[in-house]
Amino acid sequence: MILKIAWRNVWRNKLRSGVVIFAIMTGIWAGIFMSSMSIGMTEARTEDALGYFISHIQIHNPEFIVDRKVRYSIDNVENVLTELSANDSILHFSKRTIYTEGILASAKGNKNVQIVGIDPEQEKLVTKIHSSIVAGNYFEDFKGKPACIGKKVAEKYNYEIGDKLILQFQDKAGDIHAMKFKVCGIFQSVNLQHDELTVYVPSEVLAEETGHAEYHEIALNTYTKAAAIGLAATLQQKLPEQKVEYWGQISPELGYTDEMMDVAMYLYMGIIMLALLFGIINTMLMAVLERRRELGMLMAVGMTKPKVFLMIVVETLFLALVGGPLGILIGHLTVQYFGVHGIDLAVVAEGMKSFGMSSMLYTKIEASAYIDIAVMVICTALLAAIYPARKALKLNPSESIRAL
Amino acid sequence: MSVIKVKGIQKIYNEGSAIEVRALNGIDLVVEKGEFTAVVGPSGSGKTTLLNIIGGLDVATQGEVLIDGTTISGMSENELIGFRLNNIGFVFQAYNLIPVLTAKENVGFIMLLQKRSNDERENRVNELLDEVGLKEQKNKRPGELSGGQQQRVAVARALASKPKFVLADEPTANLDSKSTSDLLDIMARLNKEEGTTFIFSTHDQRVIDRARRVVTIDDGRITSDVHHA
Ligand SMILES: Nc1ncnc2c1ncn2[C@@H]1O[C@H](COP(=O)(O)OP(=O)(O)OP(=O)(O)O)[C@@H](O)[C@H]1O
Ligand SMILES: [Mg+2]
Repeated sequence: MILKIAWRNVWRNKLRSGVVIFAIMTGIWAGIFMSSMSIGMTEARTEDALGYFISHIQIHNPEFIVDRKVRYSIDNVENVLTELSANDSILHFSKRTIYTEGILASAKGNKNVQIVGIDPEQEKLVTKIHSSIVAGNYFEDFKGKPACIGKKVAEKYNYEIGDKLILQFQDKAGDIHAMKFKVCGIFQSVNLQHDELTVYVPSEVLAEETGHAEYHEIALNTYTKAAAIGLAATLQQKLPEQKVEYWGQISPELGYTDEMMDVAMYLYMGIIMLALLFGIINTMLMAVLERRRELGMLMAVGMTKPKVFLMIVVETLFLALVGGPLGILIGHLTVQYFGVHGIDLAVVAEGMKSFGMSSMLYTKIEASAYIDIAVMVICTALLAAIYPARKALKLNPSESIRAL
Repeated sequence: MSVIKVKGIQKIYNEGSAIEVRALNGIDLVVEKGEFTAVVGPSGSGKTTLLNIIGGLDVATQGEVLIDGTTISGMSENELIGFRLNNIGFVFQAYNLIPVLTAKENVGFIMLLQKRSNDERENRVNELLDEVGLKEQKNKRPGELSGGQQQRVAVARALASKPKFVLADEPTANLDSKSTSDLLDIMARLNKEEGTTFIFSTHDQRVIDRARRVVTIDDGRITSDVHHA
């Protein structure tokens, strides 16, 4: 009966209840939508970072991590490669030669670059550099000495496909080399900083020049980015002389942002709930004060205080129980829609790219977030109910009936 | 044994302050079972105050109220709620009914609070709605009923749980003369048929004429107490 009275009371003042239900609905929708955008953005950023550069796991000489010097190449590369080939969890791997202190010498001046020697075929299986080529091609004419450079660099130093490119670097033995390459491809990834700094060349061309093959980095992919964590630990045990790291260790900020997004969601929701809290309190307080005589009458004829209290609490809860699921539903549909179709952020894409982000944003949210949100809404409603319900209990039956 | 026994009741509002009001000034009153009693007096004489104290809605500053031999004067607020629920029927001047419930649900409300069985409640509610002539309106909400019909629902609700007595503070104050006389017919008939004790306050001479006992108070004191045949 209390449920029935409370439910019908909700609809007594349709406008007022409607407004508060709408507010709850909109608040939750906005919270979900905002959270899903941030989550989608970080996810995409992580995926891009992993897909273009980092991959799931990287192996280095431990010294190289501290000081990216040419001399800290991986020792006993053959052993490492044998170990990797034998592991079923590893889908593909790619070994890289990295000359961090390379110089690109052009007519327009010199530029510090990082020369990355790759096996184009291997690299293709591990990262997506090949798909970010915007002009020319990805090492397809293998004759001569091809190089791929970033679009920004090409523009700044006036390089076109087929142009000569001089790269200088010092090898492990300390010998200085100056090599002539030919621009075969221009790439544009999602990370401007990376594009400006990196020149890709085939590692075997470098080995021919220096007379020895040296590798500083082996990147590999497994099935999922979550599986990488365990695999990295296993590999580390098998390769005690190397440093094996999964993506979260290679790029700690990627791991942090994942966690931060969770915190951000609760922060968004918390702020929205706080606003809703006062909205609900206000509405229920009005409802109670408007019904003083009726509540007084109920207590006069024998309705106990706990029941009156419960009635107000249930009534408040109903507001949330109508608004909450509606908000979650609309939020879910919105997230679904933009999760598939995406939101085009082309307008601000230039800025986004420098942060390592794609211009299409796909919303995303964990199903468990809905449960958390539902719990938050219910807690908010319960919290909001306390003050008005206590106010109702303070009413004196004889006073409220007498008042005309 | 008398249903109500009031001994030396005094009620002082805002005691000790500058706006102290002596609403009741030593009231002694005994009401026997089956009475149909009107409490009359000018505005501000203390009628409502007296009924509220008898009904356990208000606490006397001094004196004692015994209902069926039980003193209610020392009861806590929560004890009083339970006592009212099980012993007293109330009809107020206005705001008697729960607006979101139908006539039928309103009449059954007290019995529901008392946790009576569904069957018992159903029977009693139908019986009373029939008595007050609102069988046809049983599924209407108070807002869809006239003032007189609403008061009849209130009377039916007050009687539903067979209380020891029914207190009605100016039950006809908002009614036209036809509705007033209808309501009194119903109250008088229920008083006779079910033997329910009624105490009501009023200003209205036509209502006073229907009472079998008239207690007049003025300035917080009983000035006359007349039994009619
Ligand atoms: N809560 C209160 N605080 C102070 N004074 C009060 C309060 N309630 C009633 N009074 C005063 O007590 C006196 C008796 O009031 P009461 O309502 O009992 O009179 P009444 O006979 O019912 O009057 P009416 O015919 O107008 O209903 C009046 O002077 C009134 O102003
Ligand atoms: Mg009065």
